[in-house]
Amino acid sequence: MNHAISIKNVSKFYGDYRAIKDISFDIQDNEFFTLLGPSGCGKTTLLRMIAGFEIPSGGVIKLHGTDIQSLPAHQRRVNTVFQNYALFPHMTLAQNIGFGLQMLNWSKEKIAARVDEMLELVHMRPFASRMPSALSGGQQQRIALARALAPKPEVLLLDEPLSALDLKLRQSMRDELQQLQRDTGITFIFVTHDQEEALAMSDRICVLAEGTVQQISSPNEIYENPNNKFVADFIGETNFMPVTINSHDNATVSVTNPLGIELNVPNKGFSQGQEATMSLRPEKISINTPGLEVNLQGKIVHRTYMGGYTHYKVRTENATELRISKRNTISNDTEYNLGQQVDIGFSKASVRVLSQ
Amino acid sequence: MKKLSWNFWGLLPAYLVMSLLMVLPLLIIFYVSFMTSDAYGGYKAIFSLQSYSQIFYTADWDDNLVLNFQYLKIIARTLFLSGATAVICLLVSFPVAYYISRQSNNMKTFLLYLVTLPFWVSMVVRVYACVLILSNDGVLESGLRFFGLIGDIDSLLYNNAAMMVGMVYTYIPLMILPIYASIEKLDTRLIEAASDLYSCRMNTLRSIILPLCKPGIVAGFILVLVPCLGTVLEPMLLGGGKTMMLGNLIQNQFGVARNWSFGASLTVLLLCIVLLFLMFQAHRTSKLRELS
Amino acid sequence: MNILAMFKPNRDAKHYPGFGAVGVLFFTFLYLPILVIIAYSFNSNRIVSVWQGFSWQWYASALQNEGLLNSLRVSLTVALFATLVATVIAVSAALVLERGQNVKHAKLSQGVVNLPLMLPEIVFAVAILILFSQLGIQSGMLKLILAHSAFCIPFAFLPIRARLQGMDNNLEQAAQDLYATPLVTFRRITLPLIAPGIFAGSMLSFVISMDDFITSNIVSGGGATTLPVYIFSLVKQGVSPELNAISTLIMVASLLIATPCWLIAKRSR
Repeated sequence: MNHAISIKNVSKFYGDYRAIKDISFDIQDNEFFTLLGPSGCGKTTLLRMIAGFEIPSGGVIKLHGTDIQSLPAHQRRVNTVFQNYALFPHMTLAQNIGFGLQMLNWSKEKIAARVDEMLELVHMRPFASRMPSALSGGQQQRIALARALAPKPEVLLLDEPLSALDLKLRQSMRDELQQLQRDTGITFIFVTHDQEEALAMSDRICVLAEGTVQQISSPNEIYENPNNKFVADFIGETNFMPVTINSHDNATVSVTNPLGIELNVPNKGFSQGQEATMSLRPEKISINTPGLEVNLQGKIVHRTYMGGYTHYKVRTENATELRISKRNTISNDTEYNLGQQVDIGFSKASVRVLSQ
Repeated sequence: MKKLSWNFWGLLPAYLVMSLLMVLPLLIIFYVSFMTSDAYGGYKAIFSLQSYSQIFYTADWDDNLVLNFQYLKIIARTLFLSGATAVICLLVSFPVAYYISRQSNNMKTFLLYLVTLPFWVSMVVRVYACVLILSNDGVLESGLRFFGLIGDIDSLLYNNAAMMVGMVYTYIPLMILPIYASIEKLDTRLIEAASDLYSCRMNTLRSIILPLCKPGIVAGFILVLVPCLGTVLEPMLLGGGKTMMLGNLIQNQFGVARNWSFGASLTVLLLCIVLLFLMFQAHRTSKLRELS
Repeated sequence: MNILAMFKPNRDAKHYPGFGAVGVLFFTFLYLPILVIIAYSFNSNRIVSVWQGFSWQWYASALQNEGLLNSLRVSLTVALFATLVATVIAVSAALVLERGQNVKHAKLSQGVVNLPLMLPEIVFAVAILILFSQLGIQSGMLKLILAHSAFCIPFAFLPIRARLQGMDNNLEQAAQDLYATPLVTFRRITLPLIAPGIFAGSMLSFVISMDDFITSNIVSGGGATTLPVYIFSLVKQGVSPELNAISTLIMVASLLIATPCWLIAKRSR
């Protein structure tokens, strides 16, 4: 299988600071691949190295099997959608979109046709002769996309392109981006610090922290089966509890936990006596629902009404506080009050034990 | 490697011009200041401190060095007039800059335009404007005489005050612009917060606005002071050539007086005074940066 | 600016009574002398301060003044060459300092370019005078062009640098991302976008050169008298109506150069 991008042992140092530490992974052809991480995790540096704006301190980056290390940015068949769009302010939208094509020496007729096609694609046809300054943020965003897609790049790089838009627009642009990726069949590499964006659009997500890869998986895997505490914490909300591993046999381990329940989980290379973390997502816990594997008693100590959801904080009998998220499905007749005694329950399969 | 050479070639012309036409001449001045002057202009390549001692002493009939206040007076006058000019500029500029910053956006840009416009007009013309206003039987003099504020023979020209008026007139925009910039940067909510916390206007001015505008005030002070210390036109045209300042004194040594090494030593002295002020400012700004 | 409004009590904490009055007095102080010059330039009386009647005669005699026209020619030539040299040097220095990667000693280079701003002009003037006499340069014109080129550089540099600083450097990367070579990027993106800065910088250095007195007065000689030096010699002879006319002409010329520059600077902000 030919990889669109193949990254092998890539590092980047700025003086003593190690922005990227020996990263390796592959990105499939026609994939919507997201680099997700907090600011300073190295995701933008990685993107800029693929684009050719930064030179790796070590390692190899391949584009469809060819080493692109020695190519300057203007010879790489990848295009970037910049965070603040970087539309040329002295050119019309059509000139902006046609710029790359002109640089590739397309004929005038072909450029005109392609620009038209791209304007159509992003629903901006009537604006062709406007200047960028006359556009709203969302419109600029579309033109930046059209400009980067026009030369039919092998890979499209998107550097937090939605971060400057307001919430509503951001949500509708998500759908559009996903649609655009399917329609064009171009590999997208999308950089973001917004986990919701990543979960919503990606085929696969690469979670980065402090210059190293934490996990590369599908959105579902990342959320349900995080590799480590960082990933579980960064993506979604969860209840963390410190636990100790008691070895049983090679396949499973028993876990001593503050909830005092009997818990056996698959052995992922744990050793006896190891300190680990147990993670339980708030929406996996139910209140006053009979018939669940684990049942505990507790008292509501905090309640936050969120519209579609209500977040509760419940203190169990052994003084552990658990956050519980409950969908408000039918009506609010099942609202619980502060101080109310409740039964809480969950299935053991929703508990994850993670190395620290 | 390729990028480094771009950097090199791009900066080379600037370095060449500046080292040949600014640094090298300054080094020559420094060198000449330690040489013996030649009666016919130029200098003799013999080391001597004579030109520096000439600032303080003259030789009397018996070749004894006697303290001479002639040049010290000029230096003192230069320092005093420059300092006074800077202070007057500051006292006027702060209210003006604050006033401008409180206007609507269009008015602001228009007033700033009015402040900067004189920069584009030749300094000779601007000093001439002062000459015209202060001249014998000029607008001001006739007016003052009409109200009996000055006597018949008093002249407004050719004295220290006239020079100072000229210096304020030429250099005041240099004070307004940096102060205005620092006032514009000031978060006006701070003033509101101060008044919300029961501070009166004067106290807000003293304990909130002025401290926060300090970088602009210091910058403006230096910007006015430095050219004042070396000013030439105002003493010649408004001081009548009799009341000298350091700038003219230096200029004369390279002109009519033909005493290069004395001129060079005065130049070195002026340079040292200026450097002292610049270092003071650099120290101040670095300290302010540490604080913030 | 409403004068009556200044005397109304104002409860706004940000309002300082009296500052407006100082402002009005300041602008009067700044512009009254200029207005007096302009008014007197139309006075037909040879005695400046006694108004006799309206007349253009002093403009006519100013425009026929050989010495004035000669010095104007010298000044224009010097300013043109000095501006050209200073602008080219300033553009290349600004590009390196604002866009170059891994520029070594950037702070020092910045200081070197701005060196003329830190010295009182008289220091530079006498220093370069000695240099020229040591090198034995005779041509007054050459001396003026060299000296003016040097002190015009920071005035050309600062607006260009400001323009580059205000320009998103992602634009250049976007161009390279879209297959433009560095040279094409410069020609198609950087140059058009910093053009207003280059224009403002070159205009500023042109005016600085045209207006310079201190250096020109010391360095000139050898048959090259610049306009300000010539005007200075007239001022030394005393106030005259022709001088008023000349000053007015110079101010009008300054206004004509300053206004478009200022408008461009304002629009590009």
